[in-house]
Amino acid sequence: MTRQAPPKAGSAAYRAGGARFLALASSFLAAAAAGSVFFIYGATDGLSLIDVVRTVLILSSTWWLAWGAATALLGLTSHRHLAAVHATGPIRGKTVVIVPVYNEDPVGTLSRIAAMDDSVRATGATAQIDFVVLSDTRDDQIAAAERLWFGQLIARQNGAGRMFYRRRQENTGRKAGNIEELITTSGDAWDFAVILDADSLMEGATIVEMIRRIEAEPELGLLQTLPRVVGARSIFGRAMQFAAGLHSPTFARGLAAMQGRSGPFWGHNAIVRVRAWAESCGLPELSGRAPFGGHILSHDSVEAALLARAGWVVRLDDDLEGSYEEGPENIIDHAKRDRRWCQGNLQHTKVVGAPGLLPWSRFSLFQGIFSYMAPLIWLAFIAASILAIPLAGELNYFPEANWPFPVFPNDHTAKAIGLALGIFGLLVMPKFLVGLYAVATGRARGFGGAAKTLRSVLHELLLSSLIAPVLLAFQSRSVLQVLFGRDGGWPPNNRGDGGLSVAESWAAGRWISVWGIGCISITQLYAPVLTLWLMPVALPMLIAPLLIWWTSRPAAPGLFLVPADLADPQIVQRHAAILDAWATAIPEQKVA
Amino acid sequence: MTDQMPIMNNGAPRVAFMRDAFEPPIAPLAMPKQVLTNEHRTMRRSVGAVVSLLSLIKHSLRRVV
Repeated sequence: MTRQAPPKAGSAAYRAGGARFLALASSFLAAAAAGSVFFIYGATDGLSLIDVVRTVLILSSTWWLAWGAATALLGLTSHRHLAAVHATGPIRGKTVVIVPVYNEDPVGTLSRIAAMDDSVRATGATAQIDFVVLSDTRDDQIAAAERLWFGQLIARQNGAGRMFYRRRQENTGRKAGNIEELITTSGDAWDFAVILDADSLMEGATIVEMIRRIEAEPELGLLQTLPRVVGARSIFGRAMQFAAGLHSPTFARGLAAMQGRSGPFWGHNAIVRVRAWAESCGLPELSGRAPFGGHILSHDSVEAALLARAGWVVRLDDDLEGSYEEGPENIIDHAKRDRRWCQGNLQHTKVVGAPGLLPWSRFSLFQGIFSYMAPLIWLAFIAASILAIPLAGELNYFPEANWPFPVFPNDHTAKAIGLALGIFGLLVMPKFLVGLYAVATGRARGFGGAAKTLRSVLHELLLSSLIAPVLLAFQSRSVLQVLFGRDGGWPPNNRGDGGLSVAESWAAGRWISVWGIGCISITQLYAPVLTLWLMPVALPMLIAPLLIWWTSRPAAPGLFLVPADLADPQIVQRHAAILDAWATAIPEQKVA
Repeated sequence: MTDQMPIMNNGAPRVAFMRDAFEPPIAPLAMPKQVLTNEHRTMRRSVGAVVSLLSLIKHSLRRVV
């Protein structure tokens, strides 16, 4: 593959360039405005170093919020990305659907494969699509159950010769290493590979459509779908599922408008061209020790960058439906997953300067790094604001010698309130706009109608604001752990119902309560005027264990409705039926 | 379940298996390791280019003055 010529006016690359410029310019402008307003406000009583520090912190954190808002606005004003080529007819190439597993429930995972195979069969493409389970399971008991249930899968689906199972003795390189091992031993058997997670589900028609698109565009190296979250039951899980269902498509469309040839890869629910993958995605070990060195944890964005570097197109097609995944059911599972992502994204500091990467790939990697620095920037801003009070000293109303009249500093309170409202607006405005847009376009019908959609938007906003300080604490701890050299390892995902006991919640969240108490005490001691202002952050931290427990409880029916609640997608129904039948057939073999 | 025997093929490490019925077919594909670290030579070259440009400007200015 070779590099492309500069984009022509009106081309997709030209439009992407325009969208990038618009989003970057508007977010930088918003950040500069916030920074300058804060600078003027801070300098009212004379300029000090702490004012400069606070200005830089508010500028960076506002840029991050404005960048999210700009992406959402782009999504609201862009059209869905439609495939450049509309291919129909039978597919020609051979495809493998890869399902990597790591100490997962074999019944759940393999019944998903059965459901997807049934769905593929309905398209008539069975002969062209194989499945392979790549096990990195360390627990021998679970591994034995995997083989047992794989036999059941082969028998049910008549899958001999097109369904495969392989378990590695050493899980070198984790998921990326697992896939690499398949490509180096068997990759030449297939033209394309659909990469899934153990909890992924895809309609057969979607898989076939992805194959058609990648077959029709020889430059396309990777095609990413936007997976919808299904199966959530808890308050936390259903709020996340609702946000992913309502808001994510808009953010994804904004992202798609800017992607050009270097779109995102999220590690699953995507199709890759095997030859392109083999040529470009052999990941080396990074120099040094974990957490920054060693195997690359968040391999997906690096693989996307490497494909784009080699000249392949990496693209998110947000019009592809029928792609599903499951999400964490409680804050602890979310934080565990986030700890892994945090280490993986911060590790990208060693990759972002890699030679030959496209500028947008570098920016995407930078975004990942910055997303984990943002909580620390907010915390630093809060700390600096508390510190600024005792450092401010007394105001001098008589700065001029021999001048009998007092000089009052200018009152910039209105500017400060305006700034606070502006930042609050950047936080909530995108979600409200997406909700209103869904009502205006009729999309809200899928979420229970206009009233229920807006009610859910409001509840989701309230809930996310309430738990934001708790998530901020978890994320800050993760970042600090990584910065201090602590490796998070590779804990398996929990995919159960996610309900937590009070004791579990207390054990997981009590340190956040301590942080909350410390925060309030220090503020009360050194900057009592700020104590009340700090309460929206400090109070949720104080009651963190309670919040963790409460949000893991089952959600009230009717709240956070998503389209899948009103009409289960076919693949989800099919999976549920197979899971029921298997659980009834040999219940004692089920491994939780 | 599998006994792994490292073999070499075109410089890329491969793994051959004692196969069983469930194993995927053998059809190896080379997957070369990518370069992710910045080459110091490239950076030195860029810095060198900037330095030579600056000295060129300095000499031109001297001539003008």
